[in-house]
Amino acid sequence: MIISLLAMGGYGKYIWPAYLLTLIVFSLNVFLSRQERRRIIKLIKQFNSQQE
Amino acid sequence: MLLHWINQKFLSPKGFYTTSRFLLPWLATCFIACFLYGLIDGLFIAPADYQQGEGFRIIYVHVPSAFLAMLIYLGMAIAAMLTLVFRLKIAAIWMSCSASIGAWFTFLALVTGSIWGKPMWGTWWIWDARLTSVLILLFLYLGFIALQSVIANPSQRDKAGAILAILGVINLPIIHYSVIWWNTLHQGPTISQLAKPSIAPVMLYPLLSMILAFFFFYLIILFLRMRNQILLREFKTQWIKETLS
Amino acid sequence: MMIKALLTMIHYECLLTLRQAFSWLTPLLFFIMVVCFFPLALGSDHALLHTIAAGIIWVAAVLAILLSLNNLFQRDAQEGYLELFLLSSYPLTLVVFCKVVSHWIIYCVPLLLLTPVLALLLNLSFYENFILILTLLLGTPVLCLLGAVGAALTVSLRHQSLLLPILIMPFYIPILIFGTSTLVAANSGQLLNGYFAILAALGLLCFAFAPFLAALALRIGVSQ
Repeated sequence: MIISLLAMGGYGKYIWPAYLLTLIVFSLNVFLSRQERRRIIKLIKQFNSQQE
Repeated sequence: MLLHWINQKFLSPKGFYTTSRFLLPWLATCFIACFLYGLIDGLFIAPADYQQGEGFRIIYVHVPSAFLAMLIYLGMAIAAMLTLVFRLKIAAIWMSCSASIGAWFTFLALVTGSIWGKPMWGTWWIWDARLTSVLILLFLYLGFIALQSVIANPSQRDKAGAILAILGVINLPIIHYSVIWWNTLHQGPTISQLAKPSIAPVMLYPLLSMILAFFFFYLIILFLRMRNQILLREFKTQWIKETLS
Repeated sequence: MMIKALLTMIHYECLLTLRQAFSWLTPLLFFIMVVCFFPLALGSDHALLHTIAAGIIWVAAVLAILLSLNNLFQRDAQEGYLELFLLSSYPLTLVVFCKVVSHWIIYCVPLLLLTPVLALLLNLSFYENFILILTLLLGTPVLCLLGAVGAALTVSLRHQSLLLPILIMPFYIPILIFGTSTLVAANSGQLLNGYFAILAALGLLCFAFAPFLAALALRIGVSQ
């Protein structure tokens, strides 16, 4: 059952990488946005502590 | 009164920061719902296509990413006009943040289109109207990102990017139709606003759901990146200091 | 009064650019070398060269013009004339238009004059040569006008020579497609009225939009 799901009538080796790539792009975008936020907050805290 | 409310909640950086924090969980829920429904229905429940067999299932990621790639560019153009005409800072932030998301979606559309093409037409790449137009759209996005990355002054960066985005959107139909005229090999559009869709409803609903899911995902990443930009631009103000501490 | 000012400005710009022979000779040399590169890279088969000749010359012209666009506003930006243009009573759009016209006269007319010679190298017939020059005559103003917008956007940036081609090349694609396919149609003996009409229409569209957008971009580049 799982094998037939993976094979998808012979097209499995095209379909699954496409969906996997979509998931990777999505996760990458979320991760990069969060990382950018952490970096900016660190910069701001550094700047604020330098001001004092 | 309404204008004042819109200004307070969405247009001012502080208002947008607060509103986006409130909206993000809702957007995430909508995204997960649409994405799961589209994924399960599209991958497992929808019947196999008569001509293409199971291979057609790639459209459930290819068409939404291509559609969103174009929609995001149109959104950037609207934001560009708002930046130039009304000098709205939030519009400029919207435009800058959309560019990289649009580029990712365009890249995804190109790769999934290429993966779809291999079993369907036999080659990894074919110079037909659709794929070539999406490739040119990727160049437009990358050029915009390149220009914005080199200009240091924020207001100069916003206005220069806005002019480039408007130039791009004026040229986009011309480029699109000249590429179509140049080569007409791709199959007809699966969804068009004027003609009836040429795919069965059973296959259409998961597609629409995936398009919605991709749109919600765009909004989520857009809001996250706009919040980052607001932090960068307004970090000297009091309300940011209070929010961060 | 305005016409006289226009003509004076075009005359002045042409003279200034002519004085620096290096600036207008090098794109021409680049054009010749790019055209010669293709037979070297692809082999000198006559039939092959004849098929791709229109594409080669158009691409070489595009590249040469992209190279020359750096000089459009550079001198004025460095010597402070852009601020004077902004303050003068003449609209900046008109100033940009004059500069593009003089740019076309100095850089593109020699290119057009050299094209028949280079087409001979690529094995084009007399008729095809003639059609090619006509398409370039209609196409090069569009390339200069669109390039002016790119040059204005990047006028005060350090990496102008790298960034300008990347920004403007997608916008060159329609004119490239229609310019080269005119020759393909001419080869198969079709009527060319439609092709020239489209080329002229693209030219008029750029003439309407490009100077205005370039002036807008110049204002941004100067007011920092």
